Amino acid sequence: MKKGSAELLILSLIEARPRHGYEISKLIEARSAGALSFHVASLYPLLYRLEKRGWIKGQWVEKAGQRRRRYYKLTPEGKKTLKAQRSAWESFVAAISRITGTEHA
Amino acid sequence: MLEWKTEIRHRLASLELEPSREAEIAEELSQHLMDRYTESLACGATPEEAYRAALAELDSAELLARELRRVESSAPPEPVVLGSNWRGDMFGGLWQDLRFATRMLLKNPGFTVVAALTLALGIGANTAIFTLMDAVLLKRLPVKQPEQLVEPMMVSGKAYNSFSWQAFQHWRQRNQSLSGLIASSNSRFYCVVEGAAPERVAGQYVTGDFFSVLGVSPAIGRMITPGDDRFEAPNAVAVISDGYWSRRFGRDPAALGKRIVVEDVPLTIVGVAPAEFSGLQVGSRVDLWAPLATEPLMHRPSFTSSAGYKWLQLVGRMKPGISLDQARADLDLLFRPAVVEPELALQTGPEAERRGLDWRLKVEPAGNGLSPLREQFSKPLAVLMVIVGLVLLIACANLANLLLTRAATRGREIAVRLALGAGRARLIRQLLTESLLLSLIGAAAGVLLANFGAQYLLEILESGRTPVLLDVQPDSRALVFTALLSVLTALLYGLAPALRASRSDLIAALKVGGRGLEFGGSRQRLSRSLIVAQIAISLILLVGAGLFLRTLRNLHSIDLGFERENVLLVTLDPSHSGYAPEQTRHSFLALLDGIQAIPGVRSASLSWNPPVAGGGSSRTVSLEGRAPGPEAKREIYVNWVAPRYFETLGVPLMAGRDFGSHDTPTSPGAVILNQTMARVFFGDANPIGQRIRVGDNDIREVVGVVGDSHYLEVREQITPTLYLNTFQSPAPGGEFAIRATGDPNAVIPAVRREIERHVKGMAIANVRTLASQVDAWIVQERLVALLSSCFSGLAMFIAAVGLYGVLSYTVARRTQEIGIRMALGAQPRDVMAMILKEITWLVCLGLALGVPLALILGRFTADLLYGLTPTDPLTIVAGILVMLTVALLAGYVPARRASRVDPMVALRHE
Repeated sequence: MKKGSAELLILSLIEARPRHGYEISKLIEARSAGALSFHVASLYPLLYRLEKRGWIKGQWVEKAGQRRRRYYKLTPEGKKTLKAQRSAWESFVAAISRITGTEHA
Repeated sequence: MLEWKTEIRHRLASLELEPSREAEIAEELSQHLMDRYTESLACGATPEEAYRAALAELDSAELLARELRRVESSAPPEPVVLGSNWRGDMFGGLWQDLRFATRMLLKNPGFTVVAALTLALGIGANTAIFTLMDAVLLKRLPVKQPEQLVEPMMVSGKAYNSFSWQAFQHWRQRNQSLSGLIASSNSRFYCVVEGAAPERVAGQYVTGDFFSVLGVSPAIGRMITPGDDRFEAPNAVAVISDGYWSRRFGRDPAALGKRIVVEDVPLTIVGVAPAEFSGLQVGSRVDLWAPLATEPLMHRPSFTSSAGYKWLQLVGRMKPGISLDQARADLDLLFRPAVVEPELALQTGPEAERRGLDWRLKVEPAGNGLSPLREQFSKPLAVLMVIVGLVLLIACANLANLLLTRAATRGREIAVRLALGAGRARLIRQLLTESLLLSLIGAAAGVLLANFGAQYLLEILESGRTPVLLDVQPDSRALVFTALLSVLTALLYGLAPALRASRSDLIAALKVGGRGLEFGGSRQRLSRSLIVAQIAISLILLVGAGLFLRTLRNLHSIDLGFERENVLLVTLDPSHSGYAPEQTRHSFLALLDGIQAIPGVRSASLSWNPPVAGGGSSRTVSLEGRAPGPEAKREIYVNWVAPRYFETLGVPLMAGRDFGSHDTPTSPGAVILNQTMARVFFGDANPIGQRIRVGDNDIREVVGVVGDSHYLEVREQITPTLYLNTFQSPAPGGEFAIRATGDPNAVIPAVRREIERHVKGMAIANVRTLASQVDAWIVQERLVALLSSCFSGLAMFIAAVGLYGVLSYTVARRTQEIGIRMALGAQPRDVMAMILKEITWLVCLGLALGVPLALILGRFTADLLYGLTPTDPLTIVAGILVMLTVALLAGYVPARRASRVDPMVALRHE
């Protein structure tokens, strides 16, 4: 996997709305149709790292009848990073496609 | 309630986090695990399964802790190291490593090509020799449990697996250790199949249990059985080989039941052997097997009834659980009654008794097949294997040097990676991956080279006295060997540079900037040691090649006693032509006249035994009138020759006369002696007119003395030899010798016409030149000399390139120093002398190391040499001189470059 692509995945998934860790891991698994999966041991360290960098922010939320969960949302700085990483990623993919000769869908 | 938090806290313990932070993480993770657990349950898993699935999320405790440590520690290092978490799985970053290695190799195409080519030559040479060695020495026979097979051999000087029928019976009936003892005997069978020209095929008489003891089952039909092999009522049956079945019958199953006339005895084909089985002898093939009991029908007088005639090859299968030593002891117990005593009974005199005491029995494993070829080639092949191994070692040393140099220029890259937190092990792995990739490229090219090489080697072997039929297609064994070899070489040349590179001093490396990394004296020392080793090994190979080349030259210049050039040898086979002996005599006389009349033929003659063909005849000879004591009665080589035989071969007549047309079966018997015989029997007295008793009561008169010539083979001491007139014997020989005025091959068509005219229908068994017959004796020496000189040349070249490379690099590094020296007044000559002195040092060190090694290793080649010893001073001195010259030539260019350094440029260098 390209360096930093895991970060990009997480940032994109919480762009629309805050999500908790389990949700994120399920989404990655579901949307990649099982091709990618994060386990506790790899997902949370990554989340904490992103949080430490100030790109995302975790918050404990309590809902009625449920135990409290920690939801992560994108910070303004995270939004900027996501934008930059996304375009870098797209140009990387485009470059790879040009080289490998597959049509860029 | 499941206690996830305990599990998680347990895994976080080593981090020593703040309690509040730890609680927070534990709560979040346990929530995750709880979600996973509930989901699993919802999907229908049992609580236990769900619990396990959730825990699996934590992976190893180590991974979680390590990943978290990075984030949670106060100053998080940001690893940009390739494949940073590889400790979890060994092969995690392998693909990445490979890709990176490929990129690095493509970045330096020059280096890659040189390195891969060096390796291809080194590995290719090893694979080729291994393939040959495998085919000759290592491959197992395609029989059941080949490891149980043993062959007995009688040792009297050399070891022979040939025994008489009587010895075979004795052993077979009385041994305790074998579950079966089988006998076979090779014979060239004269075969006639309906609708095809008569031909001679490689045949074998075998005992009835031959195939069942070996465990060889037929491809079609059946094999020979004990029921076929009864002497009182033998079954006239034959089993043919897969090859013969294809060649003669086009794989037609209807071949079964066909009649094949073998030596005038009609046999019925009852089976075809499996394709992979072509007899017990490596390097030769059998096409037709017949029951041993048919031998008395085909061969008269029969060998079976001839007491003491040793014509059987024996192979035993040890009973399960019996060791080789036990089998040896068991057979040895029977050795005297079975072999020695019957043998002694046939001989007389104290000399025979004494000889009998020296006879020993040797029992060897036979699972790899019986092979005179193995006897002949095991030593040369072992020597060649060592030679190619040394070549590969030199190649490795060279590559190690190249890599050291490269590691120096890549020092910055390595230092940056180390500074960014790459582990040393990780870095070594990366560098070794590159070496491995290089090795594999080299190995692939090497296998291709080996394929051609082995074929070519086989062609040389096939020109020998016994055609060698081997399969040298590189098989899976050879490929495994090559793969192992390439991994080994990669470690050999890659490890030291990788270790060295990864130990670099970061600060220094980064400070030096883009120019590269100076590893200081230790790198220099290492690369110099490698050069010294290369020179030492090259010298060993050079000395070896010198010894083998001189052996070949010595063999070529042996005085055989005859002139080998321009002589054609033609063998006629009167045995199945229907000619009566008297008729053959007349026809051959007429044929000789006819051949001598051919333009371009100087003279022609014939003999019973052709010269240096490896076989001969002997008779007991004594002087007439003297009591046949042990000294006077001797076993002497004899040959039956026609008039002009000596003239045709170029053997000088020293005294008396040649045989002539007046020597007829009815005239008094005449003999001619060689000089050695004349001296041994008559001393200084004139032998002409003396009378000699040949055999028991055949008295003949000495009419001439001829010069000594080789009888059996090229490498032999001249022995007393007696010549009788072939036209005075009951049946004349069929070995024609024809001396041409020019190329003997040019007269072949005319000779064939004469044969057709005078002895129509008689088979021409063999046509070759005397020169090729002589050369066939030294095939092995030619092979070893050729290969060892090629390989030592290659080794020397590689070493020279290495020397050149290292010196060039040294000179480049020292440009500044040289500049200062020159600025201070040093002359170009002084600079050059300085560099050359350094070379001379290295070379002398290498030579000082190489000479004793060459002397030690040379001892193993002693019995492959002829006419010189392994310590031959001339060869060693020549080797030293050649090495010195080549090394100085290789060093001259860099030295010259150094002497031309412009002080101004050099000082601005930095």
